[in-house]
Amino acid sequence: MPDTLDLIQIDAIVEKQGRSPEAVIPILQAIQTEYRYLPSEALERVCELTDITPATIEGVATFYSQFRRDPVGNHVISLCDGTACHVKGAEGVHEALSDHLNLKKGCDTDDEGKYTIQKVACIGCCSLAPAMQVDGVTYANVGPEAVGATMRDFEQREKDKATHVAPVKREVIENGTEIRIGLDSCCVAGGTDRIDAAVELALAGIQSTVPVKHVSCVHMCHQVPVLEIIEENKEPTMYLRVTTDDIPDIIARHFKPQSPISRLRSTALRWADNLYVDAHAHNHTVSRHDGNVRDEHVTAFLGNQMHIATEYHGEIDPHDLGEYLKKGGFAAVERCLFGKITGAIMMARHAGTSLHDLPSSDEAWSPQRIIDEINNSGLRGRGGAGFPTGKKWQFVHDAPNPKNKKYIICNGDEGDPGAFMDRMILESYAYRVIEGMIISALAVGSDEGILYIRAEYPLATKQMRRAIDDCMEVGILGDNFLGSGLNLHLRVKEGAGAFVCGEETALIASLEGKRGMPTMRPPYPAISGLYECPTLINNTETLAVIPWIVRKGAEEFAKLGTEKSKGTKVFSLAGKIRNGGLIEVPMGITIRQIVEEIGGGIANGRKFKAMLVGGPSGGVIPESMADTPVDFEALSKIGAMMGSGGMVVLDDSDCIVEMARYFLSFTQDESCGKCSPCRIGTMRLKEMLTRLCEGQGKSSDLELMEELGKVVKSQSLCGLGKTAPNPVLTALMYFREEFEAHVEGRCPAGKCKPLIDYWVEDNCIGCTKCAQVCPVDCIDGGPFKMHHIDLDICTRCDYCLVACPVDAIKAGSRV
Amino acid sequence: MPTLSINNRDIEVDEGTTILQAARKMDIEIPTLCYWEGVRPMNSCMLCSVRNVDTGQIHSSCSTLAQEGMKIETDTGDVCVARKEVLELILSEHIGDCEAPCAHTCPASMNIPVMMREIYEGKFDDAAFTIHNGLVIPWTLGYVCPAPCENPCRRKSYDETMKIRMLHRNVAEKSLQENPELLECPPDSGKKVAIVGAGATGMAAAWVLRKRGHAVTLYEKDEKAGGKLRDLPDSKLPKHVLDTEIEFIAKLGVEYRYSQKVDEEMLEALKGDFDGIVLACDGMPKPGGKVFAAKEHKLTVMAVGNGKTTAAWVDRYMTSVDPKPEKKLFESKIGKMVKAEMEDMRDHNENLEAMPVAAIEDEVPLSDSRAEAGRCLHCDCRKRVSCTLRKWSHEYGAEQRKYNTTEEKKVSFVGLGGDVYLEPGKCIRCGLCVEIAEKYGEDIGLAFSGRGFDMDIKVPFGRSLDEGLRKSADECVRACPTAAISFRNKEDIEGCHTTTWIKL
Repeated sequence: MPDTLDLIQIDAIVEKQGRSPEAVIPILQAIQTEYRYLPSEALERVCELTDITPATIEGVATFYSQFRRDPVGNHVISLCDGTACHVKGAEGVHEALSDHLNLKKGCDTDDEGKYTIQKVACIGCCSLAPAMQVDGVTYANVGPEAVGATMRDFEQREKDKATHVAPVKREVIENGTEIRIGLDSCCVAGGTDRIDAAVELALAGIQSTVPVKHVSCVHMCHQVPVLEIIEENKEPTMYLRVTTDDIPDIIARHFKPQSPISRLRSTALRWADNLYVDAHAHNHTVSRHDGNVRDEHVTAFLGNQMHIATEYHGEIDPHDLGEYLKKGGFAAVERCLFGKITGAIMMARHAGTSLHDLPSSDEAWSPQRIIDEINNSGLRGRGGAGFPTGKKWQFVHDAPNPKNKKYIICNGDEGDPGAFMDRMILESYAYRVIEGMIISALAVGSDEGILYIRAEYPLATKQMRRAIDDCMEVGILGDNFLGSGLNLHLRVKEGAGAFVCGEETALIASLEGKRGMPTMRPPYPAISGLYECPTLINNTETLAVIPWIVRKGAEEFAKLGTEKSKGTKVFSLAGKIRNGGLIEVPMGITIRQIVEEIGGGIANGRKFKAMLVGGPSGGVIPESMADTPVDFEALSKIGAMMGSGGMVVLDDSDCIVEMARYFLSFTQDESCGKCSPCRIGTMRLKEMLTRLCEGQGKSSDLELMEELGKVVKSQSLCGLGKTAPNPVLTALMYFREEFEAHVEGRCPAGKCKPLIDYWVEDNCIGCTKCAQVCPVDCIDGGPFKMHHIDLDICTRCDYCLVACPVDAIKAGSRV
Repeated sequence: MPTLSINNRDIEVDEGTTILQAARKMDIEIPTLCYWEGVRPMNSCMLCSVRNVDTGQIHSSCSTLAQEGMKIETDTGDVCVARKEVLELILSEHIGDCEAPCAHTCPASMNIPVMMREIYEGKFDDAAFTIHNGLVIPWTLGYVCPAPCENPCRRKSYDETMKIRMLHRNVAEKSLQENPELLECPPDSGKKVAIVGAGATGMAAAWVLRKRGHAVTLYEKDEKAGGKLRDLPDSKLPKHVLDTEIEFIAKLGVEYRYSQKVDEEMLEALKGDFDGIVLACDGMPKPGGKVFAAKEHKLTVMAVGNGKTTAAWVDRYMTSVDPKPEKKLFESKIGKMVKAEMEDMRDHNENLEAMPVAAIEDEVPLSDSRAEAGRCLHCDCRKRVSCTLRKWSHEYGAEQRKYNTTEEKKVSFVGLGGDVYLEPGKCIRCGLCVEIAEKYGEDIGLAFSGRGFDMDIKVPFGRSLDEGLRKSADECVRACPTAAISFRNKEDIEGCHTTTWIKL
């Protein structure tokens, strides 16, 4: 951090990002990248240089949670506080990390100024919760006990970076044999980048020419790191939860060294290795990780699924435009432009002719023909509300267009803290999203599109930008794209951390460089959106299924799903489920099927209690209603909603009141503050729920919450406020007795710390393990003596309960 | 030109007219806080919600355009309940006193804070107007009043109470000599009122009724007016003080009829001659019809207050169609303030020393009064009359303390040293001021800072409020639905966007 600010940098940033008011967010992002926070002098300088007013810059810089006004440590640790991480104990991780860094109370930066901790809404790694990010590196499954190891790993990475180890280079020959490794955010968080390096090293060691292919999301997040080996004329072999230590053996099992010398050297090395480590352990690990698509839990997980938005998952290289084309990519665009799938794009690519020179066709579909196709498919928006997509397109198509400009926007501002399907689609199927956007542009008559992607998804942003560049380069996008005589330019805009920007009008405000505050609808964006032009906003997943519909035909899509909810839906399945991950299932499947058949039931042998569907806008669905089909109408009938597709499973150790408090605290934090019912109402609801969790609630609070919840629902301006009370209202509807218990000072799930005690039962063997882990030394009793917990000192951290080998420590309400 | 129906009445409006504008044309009042003609709808307060009868949808009337065939109801039960609840949410975080503690305590409801500002600015004529309208006999009360107003004075919890009684005594003494403007009354209303008893109560009633343009006759059984005040020794109340004030009321056009004992028979006769009768003495028959009773009180200031209240009754009886008693005015209260919160206010006072209390015979120079008035913390609300939040809270019967809140409720100020200041505790975060500053093209302007519940209004880059609002301060103050943005030395009354709704 420079002592005196070098404002020349600001001039350069402004030069690059532009001087118009809508450049404010990119400018602030660039300043923050440069200085790690937003120094006031820098902001004043921006106002001098641009048309951005002081009021705008102050307003914008304080609205988005990405922006920091105070200096931070050298490294920023982002602790995920999403729903899945929350139920998996993110709070404990925060405490452990604060301990580890010796943070003073109320401080988020350590004394040396090395690390700053911040809580973030969701980093989209829900199936591997709890998760955290240190600078750009995502770590998954970081429980309180793993904090130390994680930080050591990060420091090691920093050191490695300093010494800079050059990547291994070797010759590669494509002949059908390949090793597939997922390199999307989840997989990387699970450690696949290390696996990737280890595989390369191992292959180099035997001078193998087998290519390593980085593939799209493998969906089985609970099994990462996953390695799949495809060999000609053989069944593919899948290795689950592999470690870097396993790699040499796995490679040796499948591939022989190329030259006799290296074969010899390899054998010698392995022999030498085995002198130091248990040779049997190696073989053991290989078999332990050996998996197969035919294995029961894998088939169960994948069996009920149906891949449309995620077609070719775990198989296709997200960076390879050629492979996308080979696998039917842009065929749907061909159908729109030439009336049929001609393969012209691929042929032109092979022939090396420019795609701009593709001849136009008389049989091209009219915009209305495209819209009809989408209408016939019955597709409804995947962003949450389920508005018919074709109808929306029709509105934009028909909208008066005095400025002769229409925009299309891909909404990639996936805010639900417990959902990550949009991130996965953007990372893994960028070309498919582009194809969907091209078709929508043809349908509504737009020549400019924007992908609005959350700032928390750096890989998705990078991948999308790269894919757009690829398409521009070959003429799939740009002026006269594919010889159509039409133009289409796409660009990526990064969000800056605001859940409310998933709401259409707030998203538009954000794109225009304003605070992300929603505006009244009507006018709908379809009539007056970005810069008051007709604007089509579609969710990422919606766009990703468009190519399939156009390619296979509307009827095929309409065959899937239920009467009013057609096709498939992608969900992220997380929480207390045994096999979490990303699933794509036909609409109409029941919640129970998802939990039991696909998810393999509840982890750790506990009982299925409820499912949270639709995130903070959705509802709590009790186990007793688990036979509800997943369908827009069925879900809203029981007070929940489809939402963007987050599914977080709760077991009997989760407290519903506490979950409602969590959600309200989320929406309260994310409320933009524009309208009073939402701004103050969510706060009051949160306060009442917090008091219940602390044993300070009154029985009259329950009615007051219902009354207030209804008002917030009916009076709020936008979707955020209108749905914010859903979690508490459904919880009150289905789990009222649990609320009443809290009023009486009991937490039946044993989750709310102020309402529970810890005690030692008679079967204590006096092993002192609990006393050793207790961070506040509140357990006395020496070896072989019955232990005792001093509840006045006890912080209810739960460490002792976990440490006890004989389950002698109990926790719960003893009232 | 769409035609829509509001509360079952049809109206044709221009294209682009909002439901709210249409309703206003029909004199249908829809409550709003954040609506201000000339800037785009803020959609913040959500009080203007109305129901679409056909669709059951709730529309924000300030920003929903009227459409052909629309059927709107503005006051259905659910909408009214929702309005009350939204008001209660806003009130739950509202930190402000509708009434300053001193004025709130004064039984005669004198607007003490206004008097303080007038004295401090040397506008003694204006101050005289305020104190006469408030106390009727301010010079007399300057001697005999126990000054209950001085007890809750916020300055008192800081150091010493404001010397309120001394100030009105002094200003009254100086201003009574010559002040023709004080004697101005509206044109004759044609109504006649008889008041029985010319003690403090009767005189107070006489003043109020005369000031509303009615002809007033005071019947007094004794030879002189003043009632019990006349029994006080000169050491407590010099006789010339009382006499001067009685004379002053006479100058207003009030007729005194001395040595006239009104018995039941005469009362009957008066009923025939007068449009209204005030009984301001003991031992009279029960009131009813056009006869109203004003209770005497041993505390003179209470007696004045009673006289004023009863006079207002009689005035309403004679002039208005609906003499139904007003329900108690809504009042937001801060409660106890801590010293640190007041420090900010005090720091902008020039004079920190309290004025010594003068002996009866002492002459107090007006300059001393000015200095004393300078100590006032001005903790009053500058929009006690025109605050729309107060108005609608009153109308909908909203409760301020429905919710048990956790946020820190701190009284604070921004920009107290300048002309205009901001009181975040009173702000409802509607953003009108931000929008208006932008409309005026302010160089610095105002900005929303933060988001959600903790959102605030700030001047960018830590500049002063005066710098932020160089051109637009006046409109910002007028538009602000509460007194969150105010001029330090100017209270509401005229020019505010809402009608004055409390009868002064």
